[in-house]
Amino acid sequence: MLAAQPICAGLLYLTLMPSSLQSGGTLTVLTAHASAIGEIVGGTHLVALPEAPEIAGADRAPDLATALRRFAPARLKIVGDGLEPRDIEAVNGIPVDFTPGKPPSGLIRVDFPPPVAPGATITVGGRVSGITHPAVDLVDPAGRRVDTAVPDAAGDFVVSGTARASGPARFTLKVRSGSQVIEEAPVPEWTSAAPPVRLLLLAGAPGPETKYLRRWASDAGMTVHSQIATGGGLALGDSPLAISPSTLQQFDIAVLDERSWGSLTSGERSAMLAAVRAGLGLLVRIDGPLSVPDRTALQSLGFTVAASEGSAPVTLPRVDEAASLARDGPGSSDAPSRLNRDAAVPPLTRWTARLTAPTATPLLRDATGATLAPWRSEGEGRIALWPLDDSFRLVLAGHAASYDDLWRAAFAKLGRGKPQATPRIEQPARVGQRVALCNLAGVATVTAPDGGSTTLVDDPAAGCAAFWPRTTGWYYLRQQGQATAYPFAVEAAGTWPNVRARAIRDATLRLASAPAARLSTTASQGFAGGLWPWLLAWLAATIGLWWFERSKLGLAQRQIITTWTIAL
Amino acid sequence: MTAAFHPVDFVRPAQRRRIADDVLTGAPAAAVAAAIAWRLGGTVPAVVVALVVLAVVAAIATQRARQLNRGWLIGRLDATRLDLDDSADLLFADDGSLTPLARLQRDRIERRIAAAMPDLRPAWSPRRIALAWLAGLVAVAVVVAVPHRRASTSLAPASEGVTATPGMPRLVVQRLRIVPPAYTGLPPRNAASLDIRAPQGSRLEWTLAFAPQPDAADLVPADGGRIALTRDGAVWTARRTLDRSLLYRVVPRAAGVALPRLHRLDAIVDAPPQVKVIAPDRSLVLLTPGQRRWPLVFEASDDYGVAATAQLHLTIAEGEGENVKFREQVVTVHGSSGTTTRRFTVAVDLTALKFVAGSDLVAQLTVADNRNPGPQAARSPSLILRWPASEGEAMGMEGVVTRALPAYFRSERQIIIDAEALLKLRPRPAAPRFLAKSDSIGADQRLLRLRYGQFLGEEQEGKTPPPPTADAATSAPTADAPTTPAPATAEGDGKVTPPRFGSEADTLADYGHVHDESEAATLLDPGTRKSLKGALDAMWQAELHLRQGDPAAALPFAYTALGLIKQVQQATRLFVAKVGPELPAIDETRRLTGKRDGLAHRDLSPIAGTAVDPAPAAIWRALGSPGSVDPAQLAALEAWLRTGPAGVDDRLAFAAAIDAVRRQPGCNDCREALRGLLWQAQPRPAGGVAPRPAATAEGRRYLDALRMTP
Repeated sequence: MLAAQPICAGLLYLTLMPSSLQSGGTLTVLTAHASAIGEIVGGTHLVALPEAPEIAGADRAPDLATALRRFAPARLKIVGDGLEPRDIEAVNGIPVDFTPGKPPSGLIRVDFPPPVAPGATITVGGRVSGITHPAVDLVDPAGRRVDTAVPDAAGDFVVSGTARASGPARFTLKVRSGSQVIEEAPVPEWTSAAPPVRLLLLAGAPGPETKYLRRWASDAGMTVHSQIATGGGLALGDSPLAISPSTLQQFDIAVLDERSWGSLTSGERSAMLAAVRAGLGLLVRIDGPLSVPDRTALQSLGFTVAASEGSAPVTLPRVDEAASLARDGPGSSDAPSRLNRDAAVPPLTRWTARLTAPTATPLLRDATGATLAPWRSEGEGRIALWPLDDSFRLVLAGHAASYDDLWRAAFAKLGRGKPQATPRIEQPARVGQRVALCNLAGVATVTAPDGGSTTLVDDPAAGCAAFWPRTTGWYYLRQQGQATAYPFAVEAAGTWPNVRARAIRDATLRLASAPAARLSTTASQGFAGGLWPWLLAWLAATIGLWWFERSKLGLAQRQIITTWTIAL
Repeated sequence: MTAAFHPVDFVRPAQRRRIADDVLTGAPAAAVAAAIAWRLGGTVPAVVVALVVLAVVAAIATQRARQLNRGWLIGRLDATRLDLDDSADLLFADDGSLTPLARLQRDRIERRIAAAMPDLRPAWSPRRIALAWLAGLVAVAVVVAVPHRRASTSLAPASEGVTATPGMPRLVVQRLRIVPPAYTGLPPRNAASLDIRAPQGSRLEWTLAFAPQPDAADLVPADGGRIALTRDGAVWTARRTLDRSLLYRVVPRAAGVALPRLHRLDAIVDAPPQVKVIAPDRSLVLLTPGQRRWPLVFEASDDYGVAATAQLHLTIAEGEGENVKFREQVVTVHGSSGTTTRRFTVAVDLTALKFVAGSDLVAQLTVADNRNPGPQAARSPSLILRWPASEGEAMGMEGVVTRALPAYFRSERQIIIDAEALLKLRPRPAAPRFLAKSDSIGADQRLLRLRYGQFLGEEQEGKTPPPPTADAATSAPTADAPTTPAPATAEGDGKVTPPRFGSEADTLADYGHVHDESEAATLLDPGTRKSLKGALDAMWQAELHLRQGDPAAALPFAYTALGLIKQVQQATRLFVAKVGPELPAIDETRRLTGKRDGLAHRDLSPIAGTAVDPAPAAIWRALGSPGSVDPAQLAALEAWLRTGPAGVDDRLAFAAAIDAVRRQPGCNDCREALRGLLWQAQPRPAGGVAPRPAATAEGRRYLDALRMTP
């Protein structure tokens, strides 16, 4: 009886994981739009996946993995658009032949905007293909055009709009060929309230730039600590503050001018730099000709400041003026935007000292694309030099929104970072299709628009969980022990059809070009028609064993076994 | 003896047959005419028209029957009865005129006729009658069956956005007829829905049908009030003049009836006419030599129609400098044909206007539209025809530089000249005359001083003496008269001419207490002001000495005043003080002394941020998340709308969207519509900055390594 156990186990193994009986050959797999391909020939078997149209002679298979187990082919020939994400894993190294059809035309990639702060700029990128004279409009939730981009030679485009109060919004991308609209695609956007920025504003002398910056920061709800030196050791503004690492820890960004930077003691400067290394953002404005000591002081920030005198006019990049009303909003009742719509943008002034650093990156560019203000990272913080002298003129000329854009972008780039263990949510999400939610911490639940809640099962190996949404709308991902909810939008199943077609095609093409790694291992095993003999053999062996156990012969044997076991 | 047969006996039946036949053929025409009349006018016109047409037909038939006369009868008898031997004319011939042979023949014929009386009636024409009646019937059918354009009784189905509940009255079909004001020239029309755009002042007629019939129903404007519908058989009607845009709903009066959706009436306001100047191509035209006419062409356009006549206002400015006179004249101009655009062409006759050298002619056309009541008028830009300036005078500078002081300041020099002339009078005139002359110059000086004083905002002081009275005229002035300084040389002579102070015309200045506009003083810059003050002081002194009969002593002061006035005249620009910071003067005594008393750190006043109403943002979020919307939030939004925020152009659309959300909390499209409007109305928040993600542990190590690397 003992000897029979391994036989039984072996038979069971063969039943459950049968060795290949019908391996080899090519399996032709029909996918979506398969008939459009035309030549469906070759291959020992023809399998139609659920997306495939009805084609005579094809066996229906619920997914590719099932078909592979049934036929165990040595090669796969994919006909149609390509394999769904569901089936990609199942291929598992089998060589794939895939002759793609015409590439999808239209909007084939959308870079969805991350959540932004209220009023911030929303940037949407993407790619179009196969369109003559393409143009892409971004349309806001009110149906007004906010931006237009002409895709480059590769078809890539970037359009931008502006957010309003916190909450969900839905922009629309309109892909045009000339004036004819080819495709409209929704772009869900989430605006989340941002914590107030803590600003340290130091100035060597009173001036309009400081005044307007202070005003803007206060209006934006920032916590402003300003100190404006008036000479003789006196200052205007908030109570004097000792510049030390501990006090600087309380700020996200410090805005100085070159006079106030020059007037800091070396101890204060090193404290400032230490704070920058710990994450503080530092922006030093240059608002006058630089003396030699000034230049030396600025060079301690890691920039090379070439001697140069004088100032030059600067033109900032213009946004789409026709859409400025839709971008800037209605303004306030004191200063309605429409009054200033036709106001000329005043030329600004910059000090012409050349500012360079080996690792510097542009923070601000002018209309020609030349770098105006460079920034570099220092430890965890960032340092920038800002040669623009009179950005306040924008406000005076009725372009407060441009002023806001200018400084908001600088603050967003330089401000202190916040540690964010943000979950990564796969975009785009459609109804009925898997959404991968990665980088989760703890138990995560997803709340649907209808109020239903789903607890996610995390795959520890991948660090991801999968979720299949059933309805359109905004879903919220919540994690245990975290107050913040991460929203993600789910659109109808047919949304962004070309994005999806392109993704499927690319994934299948990658499979086709990948080297066949695991050809002769388990992957080649099949069971078509060969399950039953093993099952019957195992059943017969088990029945025989059972009979043997019950029989007298078996009983005697059992006693021996029992005593032997006890003795053990 | 008369003939045995009379032609009438044969002709009358034939004529009757012919008439009957013709009337039968013509009757369908009367039927068709009657049908058309009935369609256009009703029953009574139909009957009238039918009778008239029948009468016409009968008249025609009678006329045609008259052709059947004796000649016809004889020919006919001869043709039909061969046994008459072509002698039918004998039958009706006079006895006397017949020869015996003819009489014999007649007797024979008479016997033959009597034996078989012929039937001479023309045959019926059944084919013709049948065709006429067929055509007539078809025409009548077409006339009756053609759908009635105006009074089509079909009502369009209503879309009220309420679910049908059994037993609950509900608007099922509707018609809204719009009758625009007559002056617009637009035809009346039936709107496809209850939401319309129509010219202001249109008459609106609702015809509504409910199922089941309610007891009563109203049109309820969203901003209050109601218009009761009156029942007219199966339908309900109401009328109203579209005087303003509004939202309304049709509410059947029944317990528990669901509130239907709002409909919108948009009144298109009549735009005032627009006037363009076609010729001349610029607003200022210089007269060409020899020009007698000034051709002007205007083009006026309006949305509905421009009045056929327009008024051309001609203003002629004559004279120069201070002495400019204006004449006005209005000319009626007739426009070209057209309704919405008319062209007004006029050639102004310059000689008839007495347009003389140095004049300006300003022309302006006033055009009205045909709005009724109250036509709206628009004016063209002013066109100026100018007489070319004389050579040497700079045209371009006029208007750029304003002369600070008017021309009468020149008279200070005149005073000096007068005074010097008086001194030069040798032999010296008699003391009283000398004094009187000197005093008269002094009076001029005073006048001048007062005028300068006005420029400095001084009060008009120095009243003239009270009006002359009988005793004042006779009383001799005393030496110490308070108003007139005692002339040193006034002795002996009892008659001193009272000083002629001020201008007789300026009664207010004489007897009133006039404060001059002191703000005029601010128009002078400090330097000018100082010079003027000095000039005034000098004038005081000059006047004093002139009054005392001492022109020699007055002259230096007069010269000083003149010099100062010359300085003022050279400051030719007006100076308007800018309102700016008034910085405290620098205390020079404290500078660079190192004293720091009273100096301290100063707090800047906190900046009050611009308050933003949270209502739109709150409702924006509430509409974006599933679940019903708090009615209090909708009420807050309405309150916010009443404050007239900057981004709301169309408050009716907002009100309709709010109502839709309130009525149907689950309607997704309604929510999206309101969110779209809210997006437009929300100001863009300033300065929100999302923090960038901080470096992770790996990133930190990388950044540190980057810093260590030189």
